[in-house]
Amino acid sequence: MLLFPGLLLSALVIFSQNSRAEEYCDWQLTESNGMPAIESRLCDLQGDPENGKQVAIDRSRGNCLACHMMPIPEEEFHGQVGPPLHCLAMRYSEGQLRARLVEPMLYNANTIMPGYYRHPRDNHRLANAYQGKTFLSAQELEDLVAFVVTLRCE
Amino acid sequence: MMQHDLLSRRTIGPKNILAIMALLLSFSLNLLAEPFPTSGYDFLPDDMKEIQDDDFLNPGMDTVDKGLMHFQDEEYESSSCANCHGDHGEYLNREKIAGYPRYSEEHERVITLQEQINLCGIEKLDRFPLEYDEDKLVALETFVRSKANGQIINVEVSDESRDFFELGKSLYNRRFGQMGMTCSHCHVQYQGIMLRGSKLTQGQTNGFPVYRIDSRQITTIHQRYNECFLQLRAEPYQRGSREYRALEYYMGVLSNGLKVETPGVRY
Ligand code: HEC
Ligand code: HEC
Ligand code: HEC
Repeated sequence: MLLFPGLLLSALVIFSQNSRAEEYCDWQLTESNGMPAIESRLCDLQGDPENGKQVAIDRSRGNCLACHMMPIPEEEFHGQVGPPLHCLAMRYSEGQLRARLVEPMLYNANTIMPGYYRHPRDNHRLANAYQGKTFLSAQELEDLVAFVVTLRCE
Repeated sequence: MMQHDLLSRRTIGPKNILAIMALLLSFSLNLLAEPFPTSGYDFLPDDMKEIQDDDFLNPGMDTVDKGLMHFQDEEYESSSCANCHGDHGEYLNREKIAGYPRYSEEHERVITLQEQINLCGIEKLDRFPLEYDEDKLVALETFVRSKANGQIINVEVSDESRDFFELGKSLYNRRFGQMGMTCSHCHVQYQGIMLRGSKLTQGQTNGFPVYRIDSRQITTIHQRYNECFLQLRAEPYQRGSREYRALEYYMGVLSNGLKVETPGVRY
């Protein structure tokens, strides 16, 4: 009766170790339709949407489901902190989505959403294990972008 | 335009319609929120509430009993806390206990309940100082605080303690770690809503030290802070550090009006 193993503990994950630190890919901020956008792919990497979906689900990587409902019915416990992401690509361009994922503070200075490719030096009291590391690697970020641009409702 | 210094950037202008929409969204979400202040207890399912309420079921009572033992323990100087405060702490000032952390004229700083207990040991019983959060001190704290159960929390801020309060407040509203979130994001703005299967509470401290069903241990406030820091992928401060004590002070004020409910039972 007492034990609800995992269920609550894993709500917000004690994230597992990231991959090794890698060189930070610089990016260029532009505007598209009056909204922040990053048009070029990070380090010119090609994204893989299938892998991006895994990054979105994975609690130790994107963990988008902690806060968003997504069209991924096979996963339990979608969060309600942010809006549902079902028809994203109908509302935002690829460049805008990249900017939102790299640095959501560009869209909302008070946001709770993590910056998935924020420069490590912009984090306060980063834990030792994460020194010099971004939340996602540039490749994972591009995979994620490649996935979210497929979220359109016909 | 190269733009990395984002922490200082504020987006102002027409494109802010989005930010405003997000704001409206968070307002509408806050309809789900509990009024301030609400104890973590009120977020618990009924069976957990029962366990907390029943002294025979509440596993935290073991620590209370241990604390009472230490309280009466005469050690080598053949005197104990009980000499001054009563065999079962009946002369302890319950109202005062519910007001910690409090400013001490004598020490000219804000002291936490744990520090008060330690200071009594050092000053009144000539004992060696105990390390912050060490077992014996935690047991004593749990016992002493449980004496004030049901008492309304009343943590005061004065001119002398204002700076310390402000330090706690700024830490509470600071982004930490790779997650870059503030305490108030989860425990104020989004309290009451589901985060992938669990409900966020206001992070109130009125039940501490709390018994944790998951770890089967008594957890202190500073230990819980460590957990939240680690979740944020941030480097925790030391237990007993100035920063954690300031946070405890600020959060004590946030708890004002709630009842002391030590030992609380939590996941
Ligand atoms: C800690 C909670 C949290 C996490 C985790 C999170 N988000 Fe968000 N997200 C939000 C919130 C809250 C908003 C609403 C806007 C704001 O407050 O910034 C948002 C907004 C968005 C938006 C804009 C949606 C719209 O309709 O305007 C996109 C796109 C987005 N998030 C994508 C993602 C993706 C993809 C992930 C996973 C890699 C993710 N988010 C992870 C909280 C989160
Ligand atoms: C010699 C008498 C004496 C002894 C022994 C003593 N105290 Fe105290 N204690 C005091 C006095 C006097 C105060 C009030 C201090 C003040 O107001 O600044 C106090 C205050 C306290 C308070 C704050 C609540 C209140 O009633 O004022 C706590 C809690 C406390 N003591 C716990 C302990 C514990 C635990 C021990 C044993 C480790 C202990 N004391 C040993 C004299 C004593
Ligand atoms: C990402 C969200 C998140 C952030 C940010 C966060 N916490 Fe928490 N905190 C939790 C969760 C989840 C729990 C356990 C469930 C609950 O009580 O909300 C918790 C519990 C607590 C509790 C225990 C409440 C109780 O009733 O037992 C305290 C105290 C607390 N947090 C303090 C803090 C402090 C201080 C900070 C800032 C350094 C902080 N938290 C930041 C998610 C967060």
